Amino acid sequence: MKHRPFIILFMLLSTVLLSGCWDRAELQDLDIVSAIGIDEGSDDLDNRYHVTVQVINEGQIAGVQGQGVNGNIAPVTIYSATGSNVEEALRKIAPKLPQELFYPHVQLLVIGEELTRKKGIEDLFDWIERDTRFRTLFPVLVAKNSTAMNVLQIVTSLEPIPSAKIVGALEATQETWGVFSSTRADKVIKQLSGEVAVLTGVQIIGPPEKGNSMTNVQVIDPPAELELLGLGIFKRGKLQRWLVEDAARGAMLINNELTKTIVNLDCEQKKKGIAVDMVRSKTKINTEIKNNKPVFYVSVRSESHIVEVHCPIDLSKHDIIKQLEKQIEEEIKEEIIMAIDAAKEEKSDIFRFGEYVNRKDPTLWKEIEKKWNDEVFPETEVNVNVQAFIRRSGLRTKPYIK
Amino acid sequence: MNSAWKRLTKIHNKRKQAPQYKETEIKSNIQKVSEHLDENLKNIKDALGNSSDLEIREFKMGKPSLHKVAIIYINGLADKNIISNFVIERLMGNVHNTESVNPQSPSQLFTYIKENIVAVGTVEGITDWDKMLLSLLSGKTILLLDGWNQVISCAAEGGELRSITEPTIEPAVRGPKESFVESLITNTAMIRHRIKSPNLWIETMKLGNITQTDVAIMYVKGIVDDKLLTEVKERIGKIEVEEVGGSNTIEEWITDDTLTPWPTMFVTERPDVVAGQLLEGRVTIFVDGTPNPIILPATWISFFQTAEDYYLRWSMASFLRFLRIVAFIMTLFGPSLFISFTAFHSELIPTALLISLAAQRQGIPFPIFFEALLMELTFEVLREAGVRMPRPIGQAVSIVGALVLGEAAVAAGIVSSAMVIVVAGTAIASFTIPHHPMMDAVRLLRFLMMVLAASFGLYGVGLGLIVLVAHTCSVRSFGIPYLAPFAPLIFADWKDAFMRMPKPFLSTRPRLINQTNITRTGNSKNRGPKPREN
Repeated sequence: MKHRPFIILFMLLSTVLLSGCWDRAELQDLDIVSAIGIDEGSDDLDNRYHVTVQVINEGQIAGVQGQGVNGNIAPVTIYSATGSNVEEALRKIAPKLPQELFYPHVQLLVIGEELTRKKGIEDLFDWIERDTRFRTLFPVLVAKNSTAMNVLQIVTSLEPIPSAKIVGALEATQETWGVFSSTRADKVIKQLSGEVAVLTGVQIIGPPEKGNSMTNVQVIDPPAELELLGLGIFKRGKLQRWLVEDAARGAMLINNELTKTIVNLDCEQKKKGIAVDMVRSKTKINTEIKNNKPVFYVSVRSESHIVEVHCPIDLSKHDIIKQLEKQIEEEIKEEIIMAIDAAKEEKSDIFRFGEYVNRKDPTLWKEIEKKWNDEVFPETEVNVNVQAFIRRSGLRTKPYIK
Repeated sequence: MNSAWKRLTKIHNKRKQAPQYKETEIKSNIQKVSEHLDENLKNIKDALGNSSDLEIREFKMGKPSLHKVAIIYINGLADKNIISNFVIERLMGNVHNTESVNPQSPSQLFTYIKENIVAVGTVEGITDWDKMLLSLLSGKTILLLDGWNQVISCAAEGGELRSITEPTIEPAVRGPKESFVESLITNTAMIRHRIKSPNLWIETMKLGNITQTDVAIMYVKGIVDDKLLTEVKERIGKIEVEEVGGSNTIEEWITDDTLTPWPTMFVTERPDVVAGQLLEGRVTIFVDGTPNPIILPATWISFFQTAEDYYLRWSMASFLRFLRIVAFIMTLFGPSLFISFTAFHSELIPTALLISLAAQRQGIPFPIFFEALLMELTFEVLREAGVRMPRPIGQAVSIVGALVLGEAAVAAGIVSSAMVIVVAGTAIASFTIPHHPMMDAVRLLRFLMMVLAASFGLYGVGLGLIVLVAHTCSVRSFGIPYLAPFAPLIFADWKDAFMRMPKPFLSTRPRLINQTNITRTGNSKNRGPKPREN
């Protein structure tokens, strides 16, 4: 009892001092990874994957008083290594780096097209989910016609961190053009647990080797740029086909992921002379079982505004608006059918129609589940019904041209 | 460390067991006042060591000049005008002129002087030697009469006192502009001025074996809880010191818990605050020579209430109170959260911010905890220097502090600018806590939190918070839970806690502080202004 205060003090001091500051990691001792790229390595087991990390050079991004941003130093640096699995390759990068790699701020994962075609990505995502250092909230993209490493070494204009530029482009595209979905890692993993997955593509425009230099951003029109393009259809982890433009948009519409886009309409003689801003659209999918076969009814309800008119039509007239609405309906219907046809051709149910069957008739689903993608889905009847409304014609009704 | 601990607990226990209130007096060998004037004068001179400020005026009075009289007072404590005009003048003049009533025996003369001649407010006959010395030292004037064993003590106190000035520590834009001074009587008068009720009672006692300081307990009878009052008196009775230096001495003797970081008693310099608190059923202790009376019991939230809260519109007052509590949290957790986020949980910082922070930290030679400690200590040193320096030099301190330590340190790459922002933000936040004892508590606790953050990250801060809250729940101020009305939960008293409701809603006094007379007088049901009648 006499020593109690001593003992308490000793215990308190030892918890604080002996813990050795636990898992403290000072900011200056971390190399913040902004993006990871995975490419086809080679056929031998030890070098199965070629992994690239893009590390942020903080001083070049955020200028500090007295140091300033030096225009000759790249804002990011890439390091790569090969390994029989991703984690091994990541660890093998360490000898090339001044500090410890820090993963929680990864913004992007890029997969080379060669890898998606040859080895497939079905088994590639386990480490992301298993490892506590990763969040599953970053988008996963496929480097179209290129390697992930090439994509990660393009110096981008306006946004110094290339991965931030790609993520920003994804978000902005979804808000305005609506053709690509930001395929987040957790969503991809969920899709891969089925048979079919859809991933957005990213491609390099121009010669990749020119992009790997600060001179790329010293000109007004950079010779090498990054661009989002197309939706890749994956079956059993392997890339089958790219959906682009209208078909991609149709797929987005069916999946109810489209928020905003522009639809072109014909006006009198002028083909595609009217631009309509689709501001809201909602897709409902109903299933019926006929003769032990599922039939799908895709009904889309969309609302739009007229944003551009190139011919003298009177938009104050109800009939003309009705005609335009009809045109929109046809246009959308066409795009949806294009997407469905493409999916049927690839025998890949990218719209997860199978889930609806499962919900409607579980016993039937059990029967057809195994052969769904390959046999049943391509033969299934899909009916499309579109309802379009034009809500307003912008700030004026009649165009100024007569 | 161990012995210090023991000493603390010993003091703590001793205070609890100390005997009942004891009259403390100046002790001397002489018991009574002598009949001989010369002997008395010699003894007084001896007792005071022939101090130079002792003024003795001897003269003869009566016709024929038979009676030797002496007047003594302490120079500087007595009002010389009163003494010469209303004591000496009357003694010399009157007795000569009114020969018909010329008392011959000393006893008759004594009564005559006391009742008819000395023209000051309070006159008292004293036989006790020690009591005479005490009243002399309290500033009274002593009139000694040869041949009689009693002296007359005349209340003719004066001397230089500071006049009432504007409050400097607790200023308010609106509201009264006077603050307490050192004189106990002036202070109590300021309260009397505000509460003109016969129920405002004051009990005075002398504390400090040597200093003999006047201590006054003030309360409103009928509103104050009698148990609280008994407790206060009992605890004050246990004080045994030579010196009562200020209200702080009393505070440290009567506190419930010495080992808590929180202040358990409220100190103010504003008479309007004291008046308001008295009407909530609290007790105020005034100490002569200190312009800061103690109010008790105090709760945690009372340190976030300012006088101005009651002079502003209720909405603004509530907002400001909320702001102060936010600032309190910022002060307490600002640096520790910054340390734990940057050194342990970098994944929780948004990417853009992380990049900016990492860029700032490139080339900083110290670990972040050391950097934080360095900056916080520097700030505390600057603050202390600013307080201690004479005012003209204080300016130089702030320039050196801001320029050299702020900018130069960042430019030299010794500290990061983010750290300067955090430390400066914390410092400014700490200044919004309106009462110094609470500000000081947070200033210290902040360092504890920083150590915990540096060792365990957010877990450490969380742990510290849990321990702190648990401890705070156990603190009592004169039996009142410190966290009332939050723990225990008394919703009725929330009307004046985080927010201040409009005055008509403040119709009850805090429930725990006052257990008998809860409802305030006045028509509390008739809330708000009446609609105009046509």
